[in-house]
Amino acid sequence: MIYLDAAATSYQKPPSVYERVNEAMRTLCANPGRGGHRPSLDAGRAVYETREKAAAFFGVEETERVIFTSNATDSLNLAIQGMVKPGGHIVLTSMEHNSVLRPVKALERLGVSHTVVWGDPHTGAVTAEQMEAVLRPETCLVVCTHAANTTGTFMPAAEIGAMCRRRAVPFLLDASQSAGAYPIHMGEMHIDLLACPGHKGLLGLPGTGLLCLGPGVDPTPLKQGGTGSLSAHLEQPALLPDRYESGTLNTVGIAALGAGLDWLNARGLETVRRHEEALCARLLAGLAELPGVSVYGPEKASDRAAVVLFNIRGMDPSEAALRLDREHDVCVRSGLHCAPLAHQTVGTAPEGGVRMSMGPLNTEKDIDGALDAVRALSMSVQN
Amino acid sequence: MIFLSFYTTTHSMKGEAEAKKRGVAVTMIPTPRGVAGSCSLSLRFDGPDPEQEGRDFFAAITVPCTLFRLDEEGPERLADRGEHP
Repeated sequence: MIYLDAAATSYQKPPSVYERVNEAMRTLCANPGRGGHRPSLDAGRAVYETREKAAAFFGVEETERVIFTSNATDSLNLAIQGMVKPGGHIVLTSMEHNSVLRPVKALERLGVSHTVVWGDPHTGAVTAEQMEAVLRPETCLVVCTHAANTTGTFMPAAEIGAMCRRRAVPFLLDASQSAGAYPIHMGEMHIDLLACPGHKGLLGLPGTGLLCLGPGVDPTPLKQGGTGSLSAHLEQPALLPDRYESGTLNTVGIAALGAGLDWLNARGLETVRRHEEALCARLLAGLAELPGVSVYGPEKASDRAAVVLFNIRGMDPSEAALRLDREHDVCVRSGLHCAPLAHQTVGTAPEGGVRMSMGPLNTEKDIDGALDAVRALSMSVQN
Repeated sequence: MIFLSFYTTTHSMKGEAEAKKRGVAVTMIPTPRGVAGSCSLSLRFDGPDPEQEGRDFFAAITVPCTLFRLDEEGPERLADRGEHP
């Protein structure tokens, strides 16, 4: 099987992650922070170790400003809903995922307005100047994906962050497609809130996510409950991370995420990035030679994450995805990829397209196999 | 007994990791009831001069915490920093 759906989740994990899951299932399933017995302390230590690793990985100044969530959607909801107030205004791009679009849309009922900045119709990219031009006095949040989940398009995150810092507007970066392959530093990129999944590029398990908070950034919690701290008080504790982490944490998932971070640190982010960029370039070059195949988004692999959107003329993308899987053993995702405005931006709505996305464990052989499969489908409809 | 009480598990773990790094002998214990009104975790100092080690360690870290002495007469607050009940 050739798995090219890393943008949805990383199917292949490093052996050390599988080993850590097995070990964690056997030794870390006590409740962290909910007791003084040794298994609970061990679970608490494992959670803390991953928190420290994540803080170092993303340049988070204080370890407790790394918040564990269930996934990137959970992180984005906390960031978006927690940072706005009635009468406020949000700026976002047309390349966002529904995990941004839907919370923003739902906030309309609370009197929170928004402005969508449309990406370039060819690349999908926006500029910091475009984002700044639509700021209003009541703008309380700027949201931007680091790399689009459809076309892979890189956004100028550091420039947008600098602009937001200059205009004193909080900046939320959705790093769902970039975390684990591209350097992200909260301070250097002026990121106030960083949301990402634990199960994609960070190579952890489904059911894990992160929200990293910059200094002084204090979204309103969306849930209250037990934290294992200040238990005599009926108010939610103000101290981080407890303020946002009510309920039992996914200890096994968090421990596995720590193993994923270890693997990435050992491999080196630059090595991972170069590998994925090379695979992406190979795929782009191969697709460009196939008759009837249209590729969307930036032309150069260096201008996008390892995510490629294309269509085969005369073939519905869902049929293409089905045939790639059933006839050629190639796993891809078709349709709108939960990003309807992104597809409107690059002209692939309403049908969407076929998406191939690579992770660090994909190989050149995977890409060549996928290209052979697309060639066969293309030939079947062009002849 | 000399112990350092924290208000979140994360800070307790941070404290333990820092103690290990500095070679300070500590044991993680449930915070004694009646001290912090909490079910959090504390670090008990186990070295030959626990009070001095506790005071030195308290001065070296930055997170909210409270240093206590606990004997037959009850708990005595020796030093504290930041939020506490």
